[in-house]
Amino acid sequence: MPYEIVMPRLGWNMEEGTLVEWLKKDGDPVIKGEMVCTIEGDKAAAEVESFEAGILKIPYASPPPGQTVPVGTLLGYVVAEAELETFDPNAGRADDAGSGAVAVGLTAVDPVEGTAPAGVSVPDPGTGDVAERATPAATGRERGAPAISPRARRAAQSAGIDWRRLQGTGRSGRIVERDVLGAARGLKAARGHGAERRHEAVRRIDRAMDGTFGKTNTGQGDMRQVIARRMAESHQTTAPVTLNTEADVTSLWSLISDACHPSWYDLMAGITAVALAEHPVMNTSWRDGVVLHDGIHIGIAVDTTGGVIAPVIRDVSGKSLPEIAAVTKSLIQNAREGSLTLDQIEGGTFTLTNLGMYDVDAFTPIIHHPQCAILGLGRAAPRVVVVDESSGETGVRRMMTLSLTFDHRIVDGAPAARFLQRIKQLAEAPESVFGKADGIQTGPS
Amino acid sequence: MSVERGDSFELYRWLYRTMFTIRTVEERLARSFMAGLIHGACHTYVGEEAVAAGVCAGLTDDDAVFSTHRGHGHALAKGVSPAALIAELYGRETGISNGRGGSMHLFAPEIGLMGTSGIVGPCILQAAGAGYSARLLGNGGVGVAFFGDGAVGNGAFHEGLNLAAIYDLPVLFVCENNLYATEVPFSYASRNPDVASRASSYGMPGVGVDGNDVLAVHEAAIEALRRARAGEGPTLIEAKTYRTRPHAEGMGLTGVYRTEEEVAEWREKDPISRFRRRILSEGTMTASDLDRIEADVRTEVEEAEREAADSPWPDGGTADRHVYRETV
Amino acid sequence: MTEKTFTEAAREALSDAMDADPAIFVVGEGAGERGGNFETTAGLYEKHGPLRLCDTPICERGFIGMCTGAAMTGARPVVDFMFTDFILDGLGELINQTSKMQYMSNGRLKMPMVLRGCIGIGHSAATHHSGSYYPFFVHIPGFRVALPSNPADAKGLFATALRGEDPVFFMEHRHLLNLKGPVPDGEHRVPFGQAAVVREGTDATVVALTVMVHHALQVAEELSGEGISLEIVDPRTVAPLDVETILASVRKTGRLLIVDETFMPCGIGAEISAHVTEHGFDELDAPIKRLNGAHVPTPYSPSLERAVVPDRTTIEETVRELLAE
Repeated sequence: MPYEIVMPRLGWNMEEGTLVEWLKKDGDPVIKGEMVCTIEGDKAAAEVESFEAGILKIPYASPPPGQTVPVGTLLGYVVAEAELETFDPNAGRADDAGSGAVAVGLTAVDPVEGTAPAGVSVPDPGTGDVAERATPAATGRERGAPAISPRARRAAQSAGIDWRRLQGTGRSGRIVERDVLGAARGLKAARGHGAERRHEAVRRIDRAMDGTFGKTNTGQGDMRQVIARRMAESHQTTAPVTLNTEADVTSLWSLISDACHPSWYDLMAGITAVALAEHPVMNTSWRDGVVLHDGIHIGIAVDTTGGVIAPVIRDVSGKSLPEIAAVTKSLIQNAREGSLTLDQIEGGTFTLTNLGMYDVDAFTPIIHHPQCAILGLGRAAPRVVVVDESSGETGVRRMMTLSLTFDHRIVDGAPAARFLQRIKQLAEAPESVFGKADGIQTGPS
Repeated sequence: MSVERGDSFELYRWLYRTMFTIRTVEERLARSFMAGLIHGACHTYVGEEAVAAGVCAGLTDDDAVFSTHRGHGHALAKGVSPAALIAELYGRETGISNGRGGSMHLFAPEIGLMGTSGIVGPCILQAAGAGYSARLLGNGGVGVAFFGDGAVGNGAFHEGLNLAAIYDLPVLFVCENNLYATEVPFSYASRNPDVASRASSYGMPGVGVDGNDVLAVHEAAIEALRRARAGEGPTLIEAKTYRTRPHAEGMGLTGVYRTEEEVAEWREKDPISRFRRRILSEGTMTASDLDRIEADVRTEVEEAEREAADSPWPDGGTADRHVYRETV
Repeated sequence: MTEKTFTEAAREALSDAMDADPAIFVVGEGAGERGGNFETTAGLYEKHGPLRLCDTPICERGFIGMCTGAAMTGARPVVDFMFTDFILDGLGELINQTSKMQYMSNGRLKMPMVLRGCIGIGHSAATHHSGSYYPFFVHIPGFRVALPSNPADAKGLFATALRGEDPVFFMEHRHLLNLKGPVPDGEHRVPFGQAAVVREGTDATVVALTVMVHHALQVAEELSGEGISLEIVDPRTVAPLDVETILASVRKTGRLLIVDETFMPCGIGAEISAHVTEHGFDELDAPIKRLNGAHVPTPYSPSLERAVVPDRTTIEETVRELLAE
């Protein structure tokens, strides 16, 4: 298949880009890894590389230089010489036919590559269309997975059945339609309305999280599999280091009683956003190199009956505490109801996790790959501490252990420690972030 | 074009104008070929104009002509305009087949041009078929096949002449024997150099004529047409002629198959110059009459060429039209 | 409705059309006074005479070319080849001339020409009198190909061919010539490109062509005793091919077998299979299966001949394999 050159997504927020110029002409040979054109995103210009060798073919429909087009728009093809004779660059993309609406906003974003897989569009999560189609690999046969006929696959999707668990009765154990229909009859009786909704939600979450793996699962129990893979992936590919420090959160604690009822997540998100703005190296991801993020979008780990999920508070720096609190509440509620949208899960640049409510003081959080770092919040327990070293005066203060795990591939120990120290300072002087205790309605300074 | 026999002024004027039109168009096409305006092969008819003109002068629009790869002359003599012909070779929307055919697929059925052809032989069979139609429908039409000496060794020649003979079909088989099939000499390809003599094998008359003498050709055609229309069956006419340009434009004028001396010799027998001398000696027309015809034709052909070059290309979206008459 | 044989039904269509249209004439070896090798023109010579029922010398290329010219000039030829194998001598005329005339003339010429001949393996006719070859013609733009499987369709499809403006191959399987069946009286036309669902079912679709329709129906009847429900589709014309009806059936059953006596490579089964995978992939519950005649020249000896052509036994075996997929 010819390799498609599309308008890449350079940052999370990039929805469109401008083709600046072609570095190669139509018909030019291109070697693997060679740059073929320059594009401009919302911030910077970048060169677009061909990942295949072949001949560059620019279709008539390709945007002229200077034109701004949505991310995912086809710019050209790199065609293998053997295919050149039979390939028509103007025939249109295979998946253009029929589907009609390929909304770029729904283009699958692979969290690893950070770009839309060429030519792959994701159905609107709201339509309940299935995760199976989200990535090219999903249509191929997975190693070790049972075979299933196309018809049975479709039946399983529409009945919400996880066909991987079925025993096929077709040749060589292939799952055929009758196997799915049999399973559906059994399931229908057991499943109530709530379970259906939950299943749907899990499917969406599953897709959002699963781009990393190039394959997807559906089904109620599969969230565990997704989490398992993601955790293992993080553990195997990052170079995690955890730093612990203790912060005096007595003043911060006093804000809990504010009218907007902020949670620890809300308070620490506000503080972390300020620290991240000052330490941009921590607001990064690893994708074959360090990628700096423009926006600060903080995920919060939420425990649900299906497993942990980290919905994202967007643009934390631009939000007041009450705004943050409102967003968090709805995120947590949606997470527990299983009604999170793709939008609410994607695009985090940093994550908070909190085990303090379970009397945990310190722990080693696992990085939400490919983000750079995650901050764990311990319990804010009253302790007797030295409040004035010179007089030796002691007092009862609320103390919290902050556990920062960071990816040593991206950042070294000292800068990470400075970042953690800054969080500690801000947590101990919250008025610098949220204004005076009686004036917390104002936004961050 | 049917010309009243006996009216030699009208006949001569038509023959002269037709031959000169063919010559002028062909030379124009040869130049266009060099300029890259013609996209496929182009076989010109220069030197053989007397055959097409002499035969077609006796035909009506109801008589069906089936031609060859060297068919521009037949198309023009049958009444296709230079503009429609040149535009077709240029691949334009205004071409006689809207650019579907090109040089070797020129069709104008409304005036009885049933196609030039890229395959040697089938025209002989199809002309027999037109004769069959004419008999079946009783419409008085005649089928005419033009073909070269190269078709004589083809099975279609045998089958077509035999079928036309056994059914007494109104058909003229006109062999333009220009001595070479592409670049293979007929003397090599046949043990019997006399094409006309083959007619007796099929029980039909065979007539050999000087193909560069337009009046001789015309006379033979008129007699064959009379027989055909009278229900006396087909006739084979062998018109001995010569092409003084290469087999196809872009190829060599000579080569291993013929000499420059031979080409020069035949240029001396050029059918148009010969006819001009004849007209002037008979006094049917004056030199200035003929010069005026030539000037008119030159103007017409130059305008046709400009028109063709300015014509739009056919829309690629129409490429699948006319595969079937009926949609299902 | 009147009970007629396949040949009688087709002849009725021809006779009616010749009565109505004086431009129709028939050519072929023995098509005249003799009435056709397979009685395809019996009785017509007496009525219409030698010009319209025209015996030919044995020169297929010659009379195909002649009829092409006749069709270009207002006549409506019917070429009776006796055996379809003989068409091959005129392939150049057909493919380079007949099929292309309408296109080359930019739609100004018509090509109302019907080419009929017997097809099919059986009767120890051996390899020069058993061919079917219709996949060739499906491949070529410009041709229509009709494959009637019963007397009513023979009349209806032939009538449509005789009144059309495009060249049509009308191919008659030798095993069907004496098959009797009810035939509508009077005017009866079957449009091209409309398949017939000849038996409804739910477990698998069997697309069968010409004589294979009858074998498939018998297999379906036998298997119904075991609770197996087959749907049988007879395309009736393969150019144009009614893909929609086949897809609709596959939508219902999820399984497809194509049974065709002609060779498998690049054949009708491959064509149907490609359409169904392209447009009905998600409908499939099993790989598509094809059952074809063996890819060998047709042998003479009855025991060899039986071995190269699908029959009820091999169809039933293949259906069972398909259901086990």
